[in-house]
Amino acid sequence: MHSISLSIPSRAEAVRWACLAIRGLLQGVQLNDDEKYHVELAVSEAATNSMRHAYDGDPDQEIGLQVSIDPERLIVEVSDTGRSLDPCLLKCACLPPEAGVREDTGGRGLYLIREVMDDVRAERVDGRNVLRMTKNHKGLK
Amino acid sequence: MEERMVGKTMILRPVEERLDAANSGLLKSRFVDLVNDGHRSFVIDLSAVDFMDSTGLAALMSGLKTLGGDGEILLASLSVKVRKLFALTRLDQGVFRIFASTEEALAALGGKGS
Repeated sequence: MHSISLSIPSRAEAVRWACLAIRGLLQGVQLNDDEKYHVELAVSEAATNSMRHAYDGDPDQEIGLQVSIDPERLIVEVSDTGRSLDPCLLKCACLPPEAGVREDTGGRGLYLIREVMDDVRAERVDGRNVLRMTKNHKGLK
Repeated sequence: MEERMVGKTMILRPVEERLDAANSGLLKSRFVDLVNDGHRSFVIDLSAVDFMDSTGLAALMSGLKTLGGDGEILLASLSVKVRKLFALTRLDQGVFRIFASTEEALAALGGKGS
């Protein structure tokens, strides 16, 4: 399995750069345009969660991204050293109830990650919070 | 962000290809300023936006919340990918009305924009 690692500051413009880097890497696997968008979306959501929630918006922290690709799967791990994600939040992530949807302006990130990726796990590894997101693909180009 | 008035409707067109955490705050704060200035009718032209995440959705939702039911935000010219994001989050069901073009959105405002 081949891997590429990135380390970015916990800033919105850096999250954007990381997403563009992921977009480039996705050119090497057989995914359709929707699936590529989904992976980029999941990375954007996960890194933004690290920035906003794990680090409470502190722009001087570090977010790690590791992309691993084998002939069947693409795995993106987004990690930070901030406040850990409550596993229940990931497990229970859902859309706001219809009645309250207009009032609820946030909180759709984890739902989207779970919805668009094939497998999502939150782990604590060597003092880091790691969100491991897997997308199956149809092969390497 | 491009802005133009057609009748009483403010048309906002984000010009960047991405609507994410790096720029969604600008859209959110612009809504607040415009609503405070008395604007109540908006069409958001998303034709330039190729990538949007939940922070972009949240900025649009925040606009609705700022209006507090006294006004409208219609969306126009969404790319296929962005349109699917609204479907995934079901914000295309009874929350935002989505139109193929700015002209169609203005027409749907029933003459309020002209």
